[in-house]
Amino acid sequence: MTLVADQAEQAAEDFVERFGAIRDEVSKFIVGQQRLMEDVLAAVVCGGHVLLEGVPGLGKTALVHSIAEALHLEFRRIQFTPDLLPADIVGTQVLVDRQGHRALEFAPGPVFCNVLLADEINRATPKTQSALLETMQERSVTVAGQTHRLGAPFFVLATQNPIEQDGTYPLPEAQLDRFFFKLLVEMPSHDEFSEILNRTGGATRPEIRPVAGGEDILRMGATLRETPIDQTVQDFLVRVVRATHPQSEDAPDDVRRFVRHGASPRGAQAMLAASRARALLAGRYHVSRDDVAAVAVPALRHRILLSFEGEADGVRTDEVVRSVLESLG
Amino acid sequence: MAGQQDRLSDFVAHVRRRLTARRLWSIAAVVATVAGAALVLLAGARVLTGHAAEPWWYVAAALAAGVTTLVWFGLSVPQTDASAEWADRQWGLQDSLVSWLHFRRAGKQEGFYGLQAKQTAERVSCLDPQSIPVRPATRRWLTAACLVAVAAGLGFMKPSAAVQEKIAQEAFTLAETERINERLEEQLEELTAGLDEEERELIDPDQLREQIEAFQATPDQKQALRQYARLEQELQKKIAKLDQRRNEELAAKAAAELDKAAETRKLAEPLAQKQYDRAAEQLEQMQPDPAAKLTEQQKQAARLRAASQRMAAAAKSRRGASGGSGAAQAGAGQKGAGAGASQGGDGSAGGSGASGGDLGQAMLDLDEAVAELEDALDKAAQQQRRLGECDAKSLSRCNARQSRASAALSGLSKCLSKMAIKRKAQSRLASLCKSCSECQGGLCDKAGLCLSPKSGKNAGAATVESRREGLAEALAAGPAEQLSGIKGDGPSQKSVESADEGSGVSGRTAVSRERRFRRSVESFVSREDVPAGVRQGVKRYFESIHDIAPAAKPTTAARGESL
Repeated sequence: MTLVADQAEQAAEDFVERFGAIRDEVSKFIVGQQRLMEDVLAAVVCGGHVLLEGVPGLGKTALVHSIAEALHLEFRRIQFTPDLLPADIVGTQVLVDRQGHRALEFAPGPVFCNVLLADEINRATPKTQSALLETMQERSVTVAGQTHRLGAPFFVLATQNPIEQDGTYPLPEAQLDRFFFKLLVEMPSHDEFSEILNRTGGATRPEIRPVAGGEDILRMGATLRETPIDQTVQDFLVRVVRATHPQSEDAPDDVRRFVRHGASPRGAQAMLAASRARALLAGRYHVSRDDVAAVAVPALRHRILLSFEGEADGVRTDEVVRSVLESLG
Repeated sequence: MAGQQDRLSDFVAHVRRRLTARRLWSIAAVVATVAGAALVLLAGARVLTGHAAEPWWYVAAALAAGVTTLVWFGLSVPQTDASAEWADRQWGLQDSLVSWLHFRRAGKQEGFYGLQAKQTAERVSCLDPQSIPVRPATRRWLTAACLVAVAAGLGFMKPSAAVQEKIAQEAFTLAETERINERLEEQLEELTAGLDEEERELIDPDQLREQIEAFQATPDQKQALRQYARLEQELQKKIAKLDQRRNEELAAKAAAELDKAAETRKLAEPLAQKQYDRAAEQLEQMQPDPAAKLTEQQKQAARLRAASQRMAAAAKSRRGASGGSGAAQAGAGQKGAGAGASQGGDGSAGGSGASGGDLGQAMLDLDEAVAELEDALDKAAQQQRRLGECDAKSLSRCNARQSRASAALSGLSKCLSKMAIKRKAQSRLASLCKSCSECQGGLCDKAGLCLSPKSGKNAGAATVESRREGLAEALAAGPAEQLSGIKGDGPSQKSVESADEGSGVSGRTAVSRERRFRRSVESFVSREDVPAGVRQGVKRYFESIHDIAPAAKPTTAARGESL
């Protein structure tokens, strides 16, 4: 459905307004981290899942909590542990006695919500991690041959600790690829530190009110998809993604040396959606190359598989993506 | 909506126009810089070597620069998309214009596309394409202008004196060779026009014409000199082939003999003056008339006999002289004489014989025939006196002898006529040869290069100095040029020595050695660098030797008497 100009303008204004409202609400509790917050919200409105990586205590879980509160959506949290089973996540069939008639009934797991916090996702076994694959991609759960649809919107906000590796299971590539963004949570600055203490050290805590619901999120997503992108800009986006593959003719030397496998088309889709969101938030009605470049790192950093040489040299995928952007100008 | 679209279209078109002008100026500046730099390099290199820059370089550079500018500009005129992209980059429009342009082409103008156009129009409304600088940076222009100015300045610089001299010499050589070629052709035409068939055979002017026509006007003096030297060499060869010195010597000797008697002095004069054709006519006139009376015939025969006897004596004397000088040469001479008599052809080939070749033989033949005629006439006259008339046999014999004498006389006349022709041909070739020499001399003198070599080491100052130690002083005293003779000229190194007439002990070896020594010393004293005092001293030395030699004989005789 194509919007007329007035409707489009109204939709764009609603998008920016709603987005700003959620951000302002979350900012009541979360100090700083503006870029992180915007990226998470962009992923949410785009219907994507986010992997937050940072050392403990930086407010990852608090951020997710705050967003869930501001969105007025059903929120569930799963603390991933090594003994967690897939059925603990997606649900299982239980024997139910209903007036003398016993039958197996599906008991939904915690994934049946709108906002799922998968805390320390890398502590669960691969088998348990894989239980989220269908959930994240298809937004459905299949148990005992029966598929159960999840509610909309649905998104997973996962966290993981990059430094404590004992007893953890790195996420498989297929799982990583399903995350819209992988965001790194940075250490707050001195002022932000003080502000955090001020806000959380007192007797009262800031109250976060819900400012948007599921319908709003879905409408924002629809507005995003209407945002135009020029073919030349889209070509640039495709070239960026293809250049992460060492076999590509556009690939820079860093990619050829340190990358074993590049980003997938799903990464390009994530970049396109995030670029649109960024364009609208910037007050523009079209996507530019700058938007594409700005979202390239969070959208591609977890989709690039380093080679042995890259791992041995301690190369970071962020650097690889930046070299790709530099090479393509 | 339409207004926004038009505004954006105008904006992009304006940007494109400015960029087009900017590109043209930029290309012109770059091309001017490159052309200027190339001209500076080329002209600078020429000026540093003393030459002047060629004017056509500037014309060629200007043309090339113009064509390059046009072609380059034609290939790189900014298109609308490129202009929009440039404007996006220039004013930070974040792909607004490019996106709008493509959306409009795709016919997408509703919804977000309309908003995008509106937003882009608002953003460009405050931008002024006129602010796009058209002319390239001042530094670039200044560089180009400076290079062009320097190149132009170098173009006005004149060549150095040495180069000017060289150029003048080349121009002179070119003009001179053209003139010489024309002159040689004219001379050859003149020479050819005056030739009869026999002369034409001897000279072969067609071959000379081919050679002269092959000459080219050239600025290279050495090449010019070489080609004229080749012609001169060719002419010298032809002249050498016509050499009839021995016949002329014989004729001169015969003239001397004829001059001794009053009745033959008339024939001696043209021979002495080498007017052989006139001598031939004189001889023809001396032929006895068979229709005249017998006594008259006897007188005519006696007159002819007197002449033929003297000429035969000269021929015999010549043969005898050569016969005593060497067996080999004498043999060749006799053979040549025989061949000359029978062939009556090339005098020079047969003329290498000692008697003067066919001329000598003709003289002997004439003498023999006239002697027989005279004898026959005497017998006929005796018979007439005795019997009152001659019988048919006597008359027949007289007629036969008369015919033979006439044939011999005719042969001698032919020989003389041929000598006259050869002499004329020689003279013509010599004049052409002289003209050729003058041409070479003219080239050398005016160019001044042949006379004074200005570069190179002095003779004797070669790289291996140790070998020259003994010669250094001697060479420093004399001229450095190597003396070389002219072929066919000067004293022959292979001359045949002949003894004086009469008997006596042969002193050939001593005479030959003395002459050789004399020649070498004369050659030495003829050098210009030998002081006149030394020259005179050598002359006096040899004169004193000759004075002493006759005086020594009486001394020996006196000694013998005393013994």
